Amino acid sequence: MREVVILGIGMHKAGEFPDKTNLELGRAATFGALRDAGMEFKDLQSAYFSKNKADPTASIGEMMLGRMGLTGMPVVNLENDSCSGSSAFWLAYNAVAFGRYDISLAVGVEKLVLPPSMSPPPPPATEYEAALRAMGIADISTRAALAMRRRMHDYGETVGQFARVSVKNHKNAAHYPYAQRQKEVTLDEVLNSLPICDPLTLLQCCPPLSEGCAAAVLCSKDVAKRYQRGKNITVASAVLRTASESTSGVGLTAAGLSKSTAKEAYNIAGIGIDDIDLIELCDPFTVNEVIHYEDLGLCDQGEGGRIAGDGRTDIGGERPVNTDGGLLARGHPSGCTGLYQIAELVLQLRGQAGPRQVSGAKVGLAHLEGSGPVATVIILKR
Amino acid sequence: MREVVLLGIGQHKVGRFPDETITDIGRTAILEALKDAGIEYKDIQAAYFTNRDERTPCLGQHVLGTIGLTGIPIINAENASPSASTAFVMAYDAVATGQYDAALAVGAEKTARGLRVPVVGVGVNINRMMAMAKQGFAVIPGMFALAMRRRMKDFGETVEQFAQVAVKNRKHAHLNPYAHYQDVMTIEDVLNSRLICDPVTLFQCCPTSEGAAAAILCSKDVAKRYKSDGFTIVASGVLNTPVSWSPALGITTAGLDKMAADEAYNMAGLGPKDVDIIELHDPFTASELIHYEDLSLCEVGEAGKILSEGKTEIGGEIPVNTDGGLLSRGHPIGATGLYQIVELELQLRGQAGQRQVEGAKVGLGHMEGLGPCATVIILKR
Amino acid sequence: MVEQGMKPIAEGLFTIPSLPGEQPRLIGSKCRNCGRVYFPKEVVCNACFQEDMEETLLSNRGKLYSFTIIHQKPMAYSGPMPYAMGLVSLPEGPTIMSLLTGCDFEKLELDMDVELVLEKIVEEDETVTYKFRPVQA
Repeated sequence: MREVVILGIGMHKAGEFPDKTNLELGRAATFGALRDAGMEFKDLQSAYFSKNKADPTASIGEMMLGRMGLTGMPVVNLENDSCSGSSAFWLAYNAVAFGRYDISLAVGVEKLVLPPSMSPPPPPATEYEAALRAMGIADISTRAALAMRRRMHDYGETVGQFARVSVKNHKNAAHYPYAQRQKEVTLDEVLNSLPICDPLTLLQCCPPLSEGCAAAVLCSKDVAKRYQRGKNITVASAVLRTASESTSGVGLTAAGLSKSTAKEAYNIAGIGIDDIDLIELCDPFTVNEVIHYEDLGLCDQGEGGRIAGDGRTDIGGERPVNTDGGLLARGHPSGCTGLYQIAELVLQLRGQAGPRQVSGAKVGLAHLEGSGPVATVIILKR
Repeated sequence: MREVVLLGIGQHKVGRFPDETITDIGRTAILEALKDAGIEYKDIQAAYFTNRDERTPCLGQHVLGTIGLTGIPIINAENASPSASTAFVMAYDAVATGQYDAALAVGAEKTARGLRVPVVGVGVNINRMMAMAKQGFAVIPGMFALAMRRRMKDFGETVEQFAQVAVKNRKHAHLNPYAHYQDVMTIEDVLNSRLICDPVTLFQCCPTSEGAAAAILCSKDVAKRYKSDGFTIVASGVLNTPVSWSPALGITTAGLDKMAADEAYNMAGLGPKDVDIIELHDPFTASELIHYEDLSLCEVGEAGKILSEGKTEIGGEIPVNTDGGLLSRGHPIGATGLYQIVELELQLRGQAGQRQVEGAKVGLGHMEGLGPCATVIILKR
Repeated sequence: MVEQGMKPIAEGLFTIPSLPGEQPRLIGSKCRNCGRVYFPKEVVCNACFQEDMEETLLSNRGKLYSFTIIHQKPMAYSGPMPYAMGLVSLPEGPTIMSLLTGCDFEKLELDMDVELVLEKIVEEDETVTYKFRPVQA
């Protein structure tokens, strides 16, 4: 396996952009990444294009990239729920690491093309799922609420500790021009925001609609020398895993899959949690951040809430988490969230994160988990 | 790059299956491929799953989750018509580069009935999209009607020749119990079927189908653990996109496909003369003729002639679409490219029953689709 | 109580009592190979992947693993707002999602005993579904 370098990153702001086309978003991120890499479109040898499965456009990657340049390179469109963007990264990484290509692009876009009235949610897969919907108990937010209440019972966590995650992530995003929610919120505002399903409130959920686009250019170390203008950011490990045991027991309070994925990523990189300077993790709801502290080894089982409250995951704390605002505040355009995480880690490791900068950051970890289930953990180092 | 072996194949029948979910259909194909390969699911190290029309995320995990939970990476991919052949190329690359020793490619499709409309959702905003919807989208058969008219003028091809493609492929499908449509038909049947967009008639369009097909690829070392007799080698697996834009792309000859075919021939160190059987992308009758030229079976303008001479029928010099092609075997979009692989492999093993092409040693599978993108895969016994 | 003419929200999820005093039961499946129990019924065992399942009736009592009060109306739901739902752990193993009924929201507690009832979702509609309610002390 060859060492793989992230040469360039590019993003469009995350948010809602009814007046823009997906091509405008795609161009901003793709050309942003190429500019950052000091590269031209024609230098790319393969592309992995991630999107949301609900987007009906066939071969969207070819159509979009074909309007930036026609080079004959293979393009693959893919989807892996919340892990779509990180799966595109994983494919690009492996293509370079195993010598199939020297330069690969990972790009993901999330853009509502059809108005919601023309793109209803997917029909229920089973009669049981249809019944759950009619009973009003099928929404994923309810699972977050159930997890919160169970953790409060088992570990003595408080609603305030969960809300604290939202306050922290909003504070981080307030200084990030690409974030969807760039406004600080107070603990009271989070707790008193619209009740969704008790004890979950609106500001403890990621934005319901996020559009955006993010991209990364990966290449072999040899090729990087041709373009390099600064310190190399290398990929220490990139792991994609699916469930390895039955999850029918409803693992609400701890997700074993994320834990095993992280363990494999640490092993491959030859490091442990103590070596990690900052983390981007999957926080669609506040409780998920708390759960994943435990999965990634920041603390023992049952201590996630305490960590959320004591400031050690704040910028300036021992090990900052979601310095760009995470899914909660940067936003969760699921087709490309994983690539926004990569972009933030690269900015931080290069020392280009401005007011969000974690001083002396050398190693960063990105984690996502999606339905399916699927999980990804990627470790980058300077 | 290592040599890659096609160890096992599996397929579900093509057709309409209102009582089966995509999980049922996909599972059938995967279990058959595992059995055919003699490999256990726990020995598969990665899976590449493709589907076009469903909107549920992570379908691959849902389908494979009913066979085993082994923690392997699963990628849910899509590439319009070449979706399943893209899964094959991804699995091929992963084994060839040494990333994995054994990988699964599987495609499965459930879809709505009726005429497909192209969903072109790039570079248009919602208002423009709505305006287009109100005017009615361009229909895909329309593009091929244009191609037919142009070829009739340029090359003197006749409507009967186009109809002959459908007749030939149906004759092949008659011998394939997995095909969507199996009843033989005549040139008159084809020409008298419902007019879709002049001169394209209904039986010159492929059906919208459901189905699933799977293939297991592995390194030669691994293959020896499971089988001792002859192996089918993947001689090339090419996926590409165009190098130049042409307004005629897809209408007379699609330069993209020729480029993919040339690259695949090069990679395999073979030429069109070395190929014994071909599965090619025939969503409409005109496409089959166009692709004879792209795959260098004949010079540009001579496709109608080699068809009329019977060269591309079973028993002819280079049989094409021996399982019925998209036109008759059917076009379950997310799975079609792997149905081609299944047919080629059956033929190369001499297991194709009544439609067996004697002594077939080299087979080629070709797909093309929106994007545009194209795949060409060559298998060698 | 369930009256004549009521229709289940989906087939195969629960039994409808035909005699007075009879209790409704959820219908699950049990793997003959490894013994794992599922609700709703599965064709393939997710633990050992054998296709050897038998139908089994589940206990109509369980413990409330967690609960929430839903304040925002979800798509496809037309019952009263707000409403309670929870995860109920059954002695056979499955933890199932269910609406909660016959309860004061303030008095719900984790791990409390709950029992199965059949009830309508909407008063005007005859569709019935399974729900759990706290066991009266």
